[in-house]
Amino acid sequence: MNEEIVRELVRRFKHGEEKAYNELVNLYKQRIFNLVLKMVRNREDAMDLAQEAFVKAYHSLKDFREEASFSTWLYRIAVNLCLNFTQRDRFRSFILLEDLTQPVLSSDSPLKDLEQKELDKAIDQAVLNLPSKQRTVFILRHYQELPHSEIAKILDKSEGTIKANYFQAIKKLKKSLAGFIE
Amino acid sequence: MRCKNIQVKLVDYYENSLPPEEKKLVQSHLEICSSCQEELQKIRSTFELLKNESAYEPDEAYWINFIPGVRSKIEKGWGTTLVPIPKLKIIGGIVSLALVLLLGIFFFKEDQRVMFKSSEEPYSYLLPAEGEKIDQLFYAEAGNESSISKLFSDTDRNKLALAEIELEKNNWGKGGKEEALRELDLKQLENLKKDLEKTKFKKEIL
Repeated sequence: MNEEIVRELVRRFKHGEEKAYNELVNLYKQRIFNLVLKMVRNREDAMDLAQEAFVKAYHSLKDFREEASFSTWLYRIAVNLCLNFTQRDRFRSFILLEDLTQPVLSSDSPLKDLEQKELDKAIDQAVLNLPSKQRTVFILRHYQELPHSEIAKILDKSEGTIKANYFQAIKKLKKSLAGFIE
Repeated sequence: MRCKNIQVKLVDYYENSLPPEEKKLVQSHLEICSSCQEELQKIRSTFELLKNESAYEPDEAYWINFIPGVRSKIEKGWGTTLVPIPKLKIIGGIVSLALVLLLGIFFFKEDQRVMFKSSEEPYSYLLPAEGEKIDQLFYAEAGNESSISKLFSDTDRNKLALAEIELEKNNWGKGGKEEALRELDLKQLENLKKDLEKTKFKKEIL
């Protein structure tokens, strides 16, 4: 994503051009939705929270001092929103897992579908069981494919801490998913 | 290098994000250590498994309505809460507690008022219904001495007696005491009742 274009959109929005914000939303909506979905592991909630992240960003953007990049700043908002949500709604997230884990079904192989469903459920639970810091680092690294240095900026931690959290997350996931590894 | 030191680098090694020198060290160790090889294989399998997770993509309608949805929430004032949710919960708890306390105080007072009201019952006959004459009171006092003794303390009875004396001071006139009582202003009886109520209320409190 071209950082210069993003900075220009931010500048235009700060000067009162509302349309510029729509363009920013268009640029980041897919990434933020994916992040939120992996964080809360619940489709309905993710659909709401992704929009909510942009609502929060809208209200704060005028005060955004551009010390970090817009994407780092937006990720931070989305991550905090999800962490607050999962902390508040942890029990509900767990009980909804079974209903909401719906892999793409292929009618020619029901057994494969079932195995896929079980795997998705196991991954959901394994990820949700991670401590929040490790979960966040794992999601930003694994699904969003962000470098450790960028994750460190988003979470305002040192790169070493991020690496340690990521290592611990993988170690725990390896243990939780051992039953699926032949 | 010891296995412990190597194993903390295996995730980075798998992701090819180690600096060249460290990568070389890990590689040399892996060539001679089956335990670390096994550990690396487990890490590889875990990542492979994670790659097999189902992807989810919302339908087109969601993306079409995404910006209108954001705009609608902005207009409705979403995301403008200045107080974070956990703090709101604490504030909510305090407000609830204060409400419970206020309700408690209200009901306590209400209870006292009811108690007081019920304490009026023994005296209720003291205040005749509108238009009635007060002679009923003195009829009751004269004709039902024992029950009055139960209803009134000595102090109360003394007050009644004093009230009667006050009435006597006013000369009975031609009709005598009975007639004077019949003509007695209801207000005087009400004052007497209030006096009695105060006495009774003090007793309740003490």
